[in-house]
Amino acid sequence: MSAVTVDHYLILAALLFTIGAAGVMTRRNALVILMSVELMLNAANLTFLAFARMHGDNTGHVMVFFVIAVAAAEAAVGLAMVLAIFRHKGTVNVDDVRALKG
Amino acid sequence: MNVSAQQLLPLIVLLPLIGAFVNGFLGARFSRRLSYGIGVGTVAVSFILALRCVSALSRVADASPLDPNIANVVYTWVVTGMFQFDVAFYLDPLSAVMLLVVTGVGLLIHIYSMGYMSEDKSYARYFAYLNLFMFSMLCLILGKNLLMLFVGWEGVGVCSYLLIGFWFSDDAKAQAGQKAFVVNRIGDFGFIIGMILLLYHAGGTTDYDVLRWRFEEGPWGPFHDPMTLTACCLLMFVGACGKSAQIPLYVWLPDAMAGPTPVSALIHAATMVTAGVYMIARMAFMFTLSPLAMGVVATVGACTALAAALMALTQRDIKGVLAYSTVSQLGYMVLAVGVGAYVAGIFHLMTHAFFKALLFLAAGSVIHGLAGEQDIFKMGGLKKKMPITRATFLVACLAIAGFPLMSGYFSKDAILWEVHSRSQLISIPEQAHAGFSDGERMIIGGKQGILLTHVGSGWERSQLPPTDLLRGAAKQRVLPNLRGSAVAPDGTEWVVSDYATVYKRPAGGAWERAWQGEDKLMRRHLNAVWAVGDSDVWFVGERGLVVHYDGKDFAVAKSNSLATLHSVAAVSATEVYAGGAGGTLLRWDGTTWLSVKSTGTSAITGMAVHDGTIWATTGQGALIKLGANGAFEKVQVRAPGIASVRQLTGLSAGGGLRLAGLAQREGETIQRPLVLEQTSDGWAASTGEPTSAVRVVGAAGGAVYAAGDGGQLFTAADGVLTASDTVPYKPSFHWILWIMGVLTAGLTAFYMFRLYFITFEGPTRCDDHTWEHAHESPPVMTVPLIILAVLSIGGGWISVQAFVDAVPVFDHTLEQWLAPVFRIADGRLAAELVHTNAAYAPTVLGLIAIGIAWMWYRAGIGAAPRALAQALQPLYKLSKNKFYVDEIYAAVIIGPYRFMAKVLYQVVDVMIVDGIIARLTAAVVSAGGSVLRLFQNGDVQRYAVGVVVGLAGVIWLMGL
Repeated sequence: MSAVTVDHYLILAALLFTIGAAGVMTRRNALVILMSVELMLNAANLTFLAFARMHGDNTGHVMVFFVIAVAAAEAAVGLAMVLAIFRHKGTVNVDDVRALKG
Repeated sequence: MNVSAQQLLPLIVLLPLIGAFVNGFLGARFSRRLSYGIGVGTVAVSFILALRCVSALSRVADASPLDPNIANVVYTWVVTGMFQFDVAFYLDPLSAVMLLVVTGVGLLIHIYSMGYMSEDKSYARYFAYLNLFMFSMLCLILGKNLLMLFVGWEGVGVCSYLLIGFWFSDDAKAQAGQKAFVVNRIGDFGFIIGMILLLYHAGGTTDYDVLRWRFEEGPWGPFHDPMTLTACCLLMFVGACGKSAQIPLYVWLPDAMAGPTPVSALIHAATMVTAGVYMIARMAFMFTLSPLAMGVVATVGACTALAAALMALTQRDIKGVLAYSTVSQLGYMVLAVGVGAYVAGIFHLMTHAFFKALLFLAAGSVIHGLAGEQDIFKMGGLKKKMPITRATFLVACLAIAGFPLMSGYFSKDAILWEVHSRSQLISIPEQAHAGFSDGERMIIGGKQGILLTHVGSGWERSQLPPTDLLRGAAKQRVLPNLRGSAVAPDGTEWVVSDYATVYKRPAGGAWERAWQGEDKLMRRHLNAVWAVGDSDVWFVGERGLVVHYDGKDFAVAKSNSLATLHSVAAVSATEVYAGGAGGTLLRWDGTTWLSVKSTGTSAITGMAVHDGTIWATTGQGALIKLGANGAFEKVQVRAPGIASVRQLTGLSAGGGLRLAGLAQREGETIQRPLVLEQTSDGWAASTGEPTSAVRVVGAAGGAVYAAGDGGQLFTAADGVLTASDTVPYKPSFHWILWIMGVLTAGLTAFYMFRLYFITFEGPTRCDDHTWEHAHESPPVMTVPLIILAVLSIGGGWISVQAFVDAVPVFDHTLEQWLAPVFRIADGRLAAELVHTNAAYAPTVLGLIAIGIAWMWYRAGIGAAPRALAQALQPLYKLSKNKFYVDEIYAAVIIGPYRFMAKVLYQVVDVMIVDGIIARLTAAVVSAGGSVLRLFQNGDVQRYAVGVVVGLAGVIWLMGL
């Protein structure tokens, strides 16, 4: 059995990113969209870590911590907005939220 | 606490600014007393600090008399590339004089203002503006570089505008403010272009110390050619014209009298309007380099002085007379700096500040006492009601009229005397190869197209226009070296130069480039010229170049020679000889040039005609006499005291031959410059100190001159050649300027005493009500008047050595004090210290004028002036209507300008911009918007799809 190389990590990350992106584009539930965004962020984190490991450089780890921190903030703000939308409109279906239509 | 003068300098400037801010922003809540306290207090402290700084400078001057100054660089504001701008302050003897005048007179006027503005509600605003003005003016005079001066320059302009329109609810007064502002803008525009030109050439600095150092070297300082230098001087002078109210930009000053009278005294008489004079004095080291710019400055000054004095003759408004008198006196100052009498100009600036401020303040006292009346024909007899005002006004009138021993007498006399006797020192061109002399006149031309001519009484310098030089395929403008000159029988002067160029000046005309060879010819130099007749002129040059001028056209003649020709001469139209390298001798027989037998191995360096025979000099020191048909004989030149003549490089005729060259004296081995003059029994030699050879020789005005490579002029006398680097040059128009100045002095005395007699003497012409209420002003106004009166009497004495010695406060006369500032400028100027009876003319004329004013106006407006006005009705009207200058400007400039603006508004603005461009833009934007809004559907997921698809597209493109 061959060793796990950086390619494996990258393929996994690409898969995760694609699943996340597809979720963001297709799902109608705002909560699921947020979860998909998390998935994309974690795909990016995985890429960072894979390359950090490959180059033996800790800068990638630092970036990942930043991303995790920012993602947490993003989730908090995003969930708060979803909650506000639900209170206002009684739904979390994004198709019904089109107040910015030009 | 021990504070150095250096640290105090910025404080002097900043204190009035603080006063301006406090009074300006918080003044509305202040009591009258507090406002006055802040306004006057800050200036008073500034004045005291100024006194301290100047006394410190006086000690510095004792320690380092060559360049005394106190400088303080507060911080560097801008540094970009080579350009640096420091906020820095600089006190030298010149700015010290200005500093004391501005803070001293300024303080007195601030104090006076407390009385004058006692019934005005906007006192806080008034003092805020006045303090702001003091800040700007101090910035102007204490700045260490031209940019600081410019900051102050603009600042005083703004304050002037604000204060002229101080009573802005009166439309005419607001308009007067605007007029002042706009006219000054025109001047400032010239000033700023001149400053940028200087900044560019001087390597990004306008610091006075650096500039002075850069202008000390070379004939044009940091500029490459005299035209740019003159342009820079003239542009900066345009600024001075605006600020110092000179023709043609003086029109704003009489209107500026709309402001409160103390403002007229401070800004429009004593300080701001002298900024132009100060600037020229500051840049003296630059202006003295350009005789043309100096001539323009002096002429404009004299014309302004005379014209304004003529306008003042017939004015009826008390402030109107003073306004024109100010313009006239500023003309004097500009005239002074224009002839290089910088000390006299600054001296007059100072005394004028005293007596003109006094005149305005006394006039203000009259206006105040008569509840706003300004027409002198409705005054009269006021000496009974206002004794102090009258006495001080009389003192000021005597001072401005130049009454002996009053301040104005000393300064005005100094100016007129220097106009009478100043001359400029002009340098001798290097490589002086172009020489001509007929015994009466002499021409010397050399490097960079500089030509000296001696006609009549003295030397004059001309700058010949540039010519073209072929560099590759491109032409470049250069100033060529002049190589030969001649004068035709009709007085036309011809000069030839490098790059096959011929210049000519018709008698009484200007120099012009008459001809230049085309293409390959352009690379050859012309060396000599001979005018056989008015329309028969020969030019010879390198590689056998011979050009003929037949009165209409120039044509290249076939010389059948490739030798470089150095000389040409003719005894008749069919007997022309040209000589050159290697003894080449060519002869023109009326149809062709023929080669004659060579005269030897050395070059023929010069030719001249004497007694109907052509004489030539050779590079080996022989003289050749050319006969008919190419026959020639060598003549030995022997002179007492000369062992051997080594070289002869030039000659001229006219009352005997004169030769120039190099020779060894008996018992010496070194070679000395030599000039030989033909005498009845041989030659008389003059030799000079060993130096490079003299090339041209001639006689003019009874003296024998020679010049050569080294930029020196030799004068031959008693066997000795005396060398000098410069010759004095006195423009002939200085006589006219002097006469204009003297006339102005007489007119000034007359109109000032007309003003005095009509206002204060004779029976009153006030109506009863005004007469009842006429009163002397309170002490807060009269005390400044008395102090200024003392200064008006004694202010001139600081130029008198005996007075300065007697009074311990002063160490130097004004001239000694200012000498280091104008050291460089004075090095280029010369004054003949000859006292002539002409020096009494202005004083005598002034006294006569006072006498006439006394006869005509002492008891009211007499019959004589009325009769004279009737008899000279057109002239009277011309003067009364100020020469119709405002009307001419309105018709020639403002009218067409308004018309153009109207056309532009109707066509460009309304039709094109509003009609087409604005609507088109709106339509395009609107159409674009309605398309783009289709994409703005509010669905976040569609946006995300867009992003992903776009990203995918980018990646795909990058992969391609």
